[in-house]
Amino acid sequence: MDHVEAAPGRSIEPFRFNGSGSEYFGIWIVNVLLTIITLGIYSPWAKVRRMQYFYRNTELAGSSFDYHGRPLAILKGRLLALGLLLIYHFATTHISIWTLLALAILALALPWLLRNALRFRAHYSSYRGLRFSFRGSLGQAYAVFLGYPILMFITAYLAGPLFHQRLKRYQHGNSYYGGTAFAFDAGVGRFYRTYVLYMLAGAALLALAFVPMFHMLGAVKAVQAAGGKPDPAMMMSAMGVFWLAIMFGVLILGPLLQAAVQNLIWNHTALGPHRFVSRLSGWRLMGIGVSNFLLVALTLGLFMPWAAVRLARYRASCTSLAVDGSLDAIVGDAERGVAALGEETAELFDIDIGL
Amino acid sequence: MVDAVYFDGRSAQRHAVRLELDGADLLVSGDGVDRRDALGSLRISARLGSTPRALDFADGARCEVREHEAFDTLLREAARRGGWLHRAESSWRMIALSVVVVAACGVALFVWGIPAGAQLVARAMPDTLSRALSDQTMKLFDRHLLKPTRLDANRTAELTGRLEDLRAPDGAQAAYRIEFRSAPTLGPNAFALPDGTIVLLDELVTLADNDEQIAAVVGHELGHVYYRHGLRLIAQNSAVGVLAAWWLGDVSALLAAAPTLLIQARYSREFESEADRYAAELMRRNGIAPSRLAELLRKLAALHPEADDDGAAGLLASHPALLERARALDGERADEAAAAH
Repeated sequence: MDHVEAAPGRSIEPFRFNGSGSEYFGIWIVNVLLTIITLGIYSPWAKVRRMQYFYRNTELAGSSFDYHGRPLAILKGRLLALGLLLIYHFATTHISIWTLLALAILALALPWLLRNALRFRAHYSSYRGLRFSFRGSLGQAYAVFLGYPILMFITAYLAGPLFHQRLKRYQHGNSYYGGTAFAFDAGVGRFYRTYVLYMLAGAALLALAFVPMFHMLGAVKAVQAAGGKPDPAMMMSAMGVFWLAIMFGVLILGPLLQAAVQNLIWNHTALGPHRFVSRLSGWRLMGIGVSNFLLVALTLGLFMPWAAVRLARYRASCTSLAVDGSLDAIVGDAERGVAALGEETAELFDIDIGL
Repeated sequence: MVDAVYFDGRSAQRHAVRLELDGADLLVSGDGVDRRDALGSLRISARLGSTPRALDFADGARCEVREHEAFDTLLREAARRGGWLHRAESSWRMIALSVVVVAACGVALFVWGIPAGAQLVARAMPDTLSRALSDQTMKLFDRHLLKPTRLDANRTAELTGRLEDLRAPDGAQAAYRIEFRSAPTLGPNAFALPDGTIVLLDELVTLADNDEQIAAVVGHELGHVYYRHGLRLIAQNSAVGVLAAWWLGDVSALLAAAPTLLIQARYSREFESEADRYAAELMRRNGIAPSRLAELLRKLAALHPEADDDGAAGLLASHPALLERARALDGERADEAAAAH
């Protein structure tokens, strides 16, 4: 049981996920039921229960993680997010001078909100009785959540990997466990090297999906203008190619990219002297994704709990922490007084908008 | 006596400890730890699957317990049970009941709940908003889809005159406005906007054998306006989209799109039938045989023998098969004849 203390020097501590699909099914279906009969009001409580099930079943070096998020804070965050969504909706459907003003307010509010969400998530996560925390500055939040997305937009996503690197550097580089800092050391070059093939493949796929579509629409217009009937076989084949390309992108390319990027991120993240090791296989992730997709579709959604558990188990089984010395040496941050129940600090940023 | 792991809240050091009860106090001892706390001062997490349970002490220390049964027994001695949620989540009877209730709620929601909610929303929508929405839609269509009518001005004036004399089934003057446009890409078609604007396409006007058939189409479109189908469809489709994303979105947004499309098509078919029935009533009120609409639907169907439900008279292509609608209209006439005898 106390193998961490016993190990001298470096030891590899694997993450493990102990949840089971059938056990989670019960929790999930009761969550759904209570959410329906309370007309959605229960959903923050359901979220806390779901998060707790996944956190508490995730084990590292003989101890589990825990989630302490409070449902009322989540409810508040969701109402706020809903309000912003409505503002966005009305501002963009009725174009007027107010549209610009509303968009400006949203653009200014969003980085602040996303930073608070990161703080909430970290603060309400714990391991061995110590909380996590996120201490990124507000100024950096504006650069990461406003500056780089705008850059990404005007460069037609060519700056995408740059944005992702900055986001992860902000997130992982400003996180703490107790008083020990996380560190992130993957540079922009590595992100581009990981992304480049997938960006090319994605662009080719988009061309493959849309070119026959536009061609078909043009042909249909021409034929109808001439008073004839469009060839249904041609329309069907263009639609078929479109859907095949989209499915290929989402179900095949998606998981491959996800595995490569997750490995890149975690293999360059450290907690003090302890390094994370991530060995996700894109093909295994794809197999799980495709079979989950089919089984969820065939069961009209009832397979969802097993799908979520399978994914969590595989992800945990591919992640480990190379511990230098012992995790026991990690202490809380006395100066900040971060105790397991130090909730007074949380009152200031009691908002969670599910990131 | 229950085994547990203790953390002091200041470091990540693990302490293997034992929990014991002494009256209303909990004793924690072993591995350098020795403390006594009133049970009332602790926060004990409820059971959740077989995940470890946590005891949080007021000073930030924490115990994790994995021996669920022994710990429950200990708490029972102290009369501090609870966890009805856990009992519900792990009882097969409760789970089966949940599945049945959730499925029933789902069906009820799609069949009654969403349509009823959408009706409330559509009725509460102020007229100024629906006019603004209609104006915008019309401008959008005029820019991208529609061209000016090529019909003779005398012909459109004559038709407008005849159509404006139509009375609603309740006898009131129907409040609407006819617009003529042409659109070769859309074929014979007509559509209604929420504010009562009805757009007739040249292709439909020339396809009709007589003006009564055109009046039948206007009657159908007036049905859409009367029942506020346009606004209701928007509200219903948004609700379905949100629910599908909530239900299936965790796994795949792609998967969530499939039921959305299926259910939306069903809603829109219901509206077409409702508008047809309204048109039949309106025609009877104005002394036009309801079979005129059926005749036109059959003509439309003959234009598209390969795709029966394509190019129908309405805003969306997801109509019930044209011939099916024509048969439903015939059936209504037969019922009426039977009732008259």
